[in-house]
Amino acid sequence: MKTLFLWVILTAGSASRVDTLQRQLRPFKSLKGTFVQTQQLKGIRKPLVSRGTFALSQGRGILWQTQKPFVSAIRINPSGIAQVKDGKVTSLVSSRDQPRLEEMGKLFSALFSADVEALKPQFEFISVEAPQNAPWKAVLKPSDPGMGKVVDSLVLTGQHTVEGLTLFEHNGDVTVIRFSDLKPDEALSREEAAALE
Amino acid sequence: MSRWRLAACAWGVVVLLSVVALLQRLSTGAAFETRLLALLPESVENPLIDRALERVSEAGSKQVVILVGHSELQTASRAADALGAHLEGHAGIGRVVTKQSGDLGNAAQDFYFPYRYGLLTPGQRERLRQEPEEGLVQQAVERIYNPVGPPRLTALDEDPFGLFSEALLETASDSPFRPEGDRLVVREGRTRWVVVFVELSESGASLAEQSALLDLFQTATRAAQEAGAREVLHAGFIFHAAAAARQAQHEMSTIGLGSLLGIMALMLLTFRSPKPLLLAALPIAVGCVVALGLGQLIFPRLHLLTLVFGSSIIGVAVDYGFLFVAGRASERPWDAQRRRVEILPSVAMAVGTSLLAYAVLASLPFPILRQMGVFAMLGLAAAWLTALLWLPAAGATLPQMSARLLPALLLWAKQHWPRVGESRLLTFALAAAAVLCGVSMTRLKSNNDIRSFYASSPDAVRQGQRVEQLLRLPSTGQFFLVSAPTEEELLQRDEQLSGRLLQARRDGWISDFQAMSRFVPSQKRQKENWQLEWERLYKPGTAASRVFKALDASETGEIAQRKMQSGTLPLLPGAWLQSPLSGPFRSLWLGQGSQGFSELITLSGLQGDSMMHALEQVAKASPGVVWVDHVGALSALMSRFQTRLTRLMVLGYAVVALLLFARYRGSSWRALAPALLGCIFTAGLFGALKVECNLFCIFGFLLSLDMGVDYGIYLQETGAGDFRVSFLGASLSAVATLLSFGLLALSQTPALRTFGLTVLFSIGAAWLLAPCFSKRTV
Repeated sequence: MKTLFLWVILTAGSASRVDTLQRQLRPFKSLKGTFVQTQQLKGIRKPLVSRGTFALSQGRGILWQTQKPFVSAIRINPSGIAQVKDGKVTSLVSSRDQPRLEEMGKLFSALFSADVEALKPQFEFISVEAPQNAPWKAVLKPSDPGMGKVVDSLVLTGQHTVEGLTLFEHNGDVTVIRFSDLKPDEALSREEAAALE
Repeated sequence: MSRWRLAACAWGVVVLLSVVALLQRLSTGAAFETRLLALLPESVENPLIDRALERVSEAGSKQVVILVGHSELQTASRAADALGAHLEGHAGIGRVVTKQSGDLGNAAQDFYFPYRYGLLTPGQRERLRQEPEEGLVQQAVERIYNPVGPPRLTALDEDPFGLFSEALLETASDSPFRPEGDRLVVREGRTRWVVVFVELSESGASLAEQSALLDLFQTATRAAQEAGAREVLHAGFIFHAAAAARQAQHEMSTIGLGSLLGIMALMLLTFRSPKPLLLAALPIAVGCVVALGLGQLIFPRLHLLTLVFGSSIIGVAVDYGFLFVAGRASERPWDAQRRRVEILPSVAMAVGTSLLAYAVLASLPFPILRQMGVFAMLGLAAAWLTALLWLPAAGATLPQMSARLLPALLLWAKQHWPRVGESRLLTFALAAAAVLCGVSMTRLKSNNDIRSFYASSPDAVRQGQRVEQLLRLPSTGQFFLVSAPTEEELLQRDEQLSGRLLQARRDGWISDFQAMSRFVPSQKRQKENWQLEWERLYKPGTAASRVFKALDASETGEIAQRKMQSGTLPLLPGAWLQSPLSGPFRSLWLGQGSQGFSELITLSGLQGDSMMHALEQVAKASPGVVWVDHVGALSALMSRFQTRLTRLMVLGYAVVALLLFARYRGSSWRALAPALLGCIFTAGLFGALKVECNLFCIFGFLLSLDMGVDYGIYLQETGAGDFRVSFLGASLSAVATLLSFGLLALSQTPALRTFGLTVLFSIGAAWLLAPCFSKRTV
């Protein structure tokens, strides 16, 4: 389920209703970068940290490659979530079974066309701090009751792109993901392109 | 003279009593039996099957499913609301559900949570049995780290391996429905269908109510379309029933009007007055009233089919009246009293043969045939008495026959109609035709698939099939009935069968199946699952210990282990049945009966007859499992019914032949031949044209034999007047019958059409052949 949010997050900015926030976001065809994910799970004292890279391409999906503490690659596109291992793709969740995934896929494609309506059915913007030419912060709450059962709220920060997110889950878990080295419109590597085929 | 009058008065009293009995019955509001099931002899060997069938058909006849489609969910939802608002509050509409109150997914999560350690999907069981511990641990750790895979719906220590979340998700994705927002949605390509459930308040609506409901659903559909719906699909028994009723009504008003006009025209051409028609109709009317009045004293619940077929058979009595009025064609002045004496032997023979034939029918052990036989006998006897006792008084005066044309025609017929024995060509032609038809008859195919008897509209069928396919609705005609002495054993049997059905689903033989064990596993299965999880995952030193050690949270691991160890709450059917989750499936569970517990396992999207056969074999091999093929059983029953009826008809007419022999001796074949040849020619024609014969054909043949023999008798009984008078009586009766029953050949209802065709050809032939077999008298 977290994947869904990852998606939303990366796509959320441009789809926001908030004009200033929207003006600051730079449109891009692809986006690459690194991430650090810190999870604070209920019942686990030590935070779980993982890092890696990601590559996102308009209309084709996102490749999430964890490098530490273990190596794994996940591909998310409108057809669902799949694991990529040694060039082989194994489906984990198909959007045929989970239509919400496809919804997310659509949000994903709507990212660059700044389709404000696309986020509306799923999320509500609770608060937005978006000063001119400065980093912004938005708090979102799922409006869909099904998603509300899993997610309490979602905090997004960024400037020209989304740079960080915090996910508060209903079961008490908190996940923080920070993006860095963001390179808009940089060509995908051959491996990345192949995985996103 | 006064003896006749006395008898007429006595008969009046009997008729009056029948009317009183009938009125009294009607005033208590007693309706007719309409259930098809009531036709059958009760299945003595398994009354449970009857109960199951009733349960299924009652649930089915009340439910309506409507799909409102559009590519945008919002538009489809708005249209569904418009449709719902239009339906709500109308007579006959019980409940309309366009939205889900509360999230079913959440309800499932809350309900199953306490039982989670006993619930595993087949795939999970497989993995826990086979996968090495290394893999289990790695997968669990990756799943916790990765923002991917199925959501973990609980805290980590409640479901560290995500098995519960995964199972819930799998169950949800196994259903054709998807909750989207507060709607239940089915997707098909780009179209989103919002599902609307409607429950009708009554299952057995009258024809008028059905028609009103059909109109209501039509305007509601229009409302949905105006609100933006691109397409609206309906499914429900009501649409087929209403379509069939509309069709029947439409035909009644067209075919019925046609035959009425035709008969009126016949009368006016012959007599220039409607009076003879009224005279001919009087015995039928009295016959029906008496049959109904006395019949319902004998049988507490008359079936609607008895009424329909019984009254048709009583319609045969039209020839008693026509033979009476045909006497007017004689050159002698009209004397109603003398005419009665003249027709007495003919009509007595006619009614005698009929009563004999139907007595044989009534001797069948089929409740409905017994009813029909008795009903027909009562009606025919009453019609005969009415013709004899009342017609002379009612027809004391009769208008003049049509001036010249008719006597001239009759004279021509008398002089020139070819006769067997005189014309070699005719004899040869008839013999050749009989042989040819006899050969062709052997190619006659029989088809009693009850679905083909029914005239639903093609549109209702198309929509129904699409909805069934999209929603994977279970078939109501075929299912497994599983029973066992205890609830636990029942669930175990269910699980065994479900295993095979899962395989059948993978192989594409069925699109889905609905069984209790998919919602509530047996105690045995739940214990096995718990044991498997304990051994492979939770037992100290196994996967859980390693996973939590990797997360540096061994104490949380111990909590998870303790929770699992104490989490042995058994899930029982009772709890599930009380939860809202069981809603659409509750009717599957028949629960406890006199012989233990039982349930239904229903199938969706069953493919092909060979699969049906295979399922029957599966049932035979599994203890406590019965394969119920309602449609097949009914069709088979109709076929058995047809075979018996055919045999009895042959037997009945063999007895009739004896009676004819007793009276006509050497020339008795002349009375029987026209009817017999008529039936042989018709059957031969059907064989050649590949018309499929069914039960209704046999009824047609029965009717035609009855009337055809009457024509034969009239043309043998010279006492009733010469050839011209007898032939006029037979002709009036035949033409009237062809106009009333024969026109049913135009019907769109398959059952009525075959009946009509049979009557059309066999009565037509019997009528035209009867003069060929009459002896020439000068």
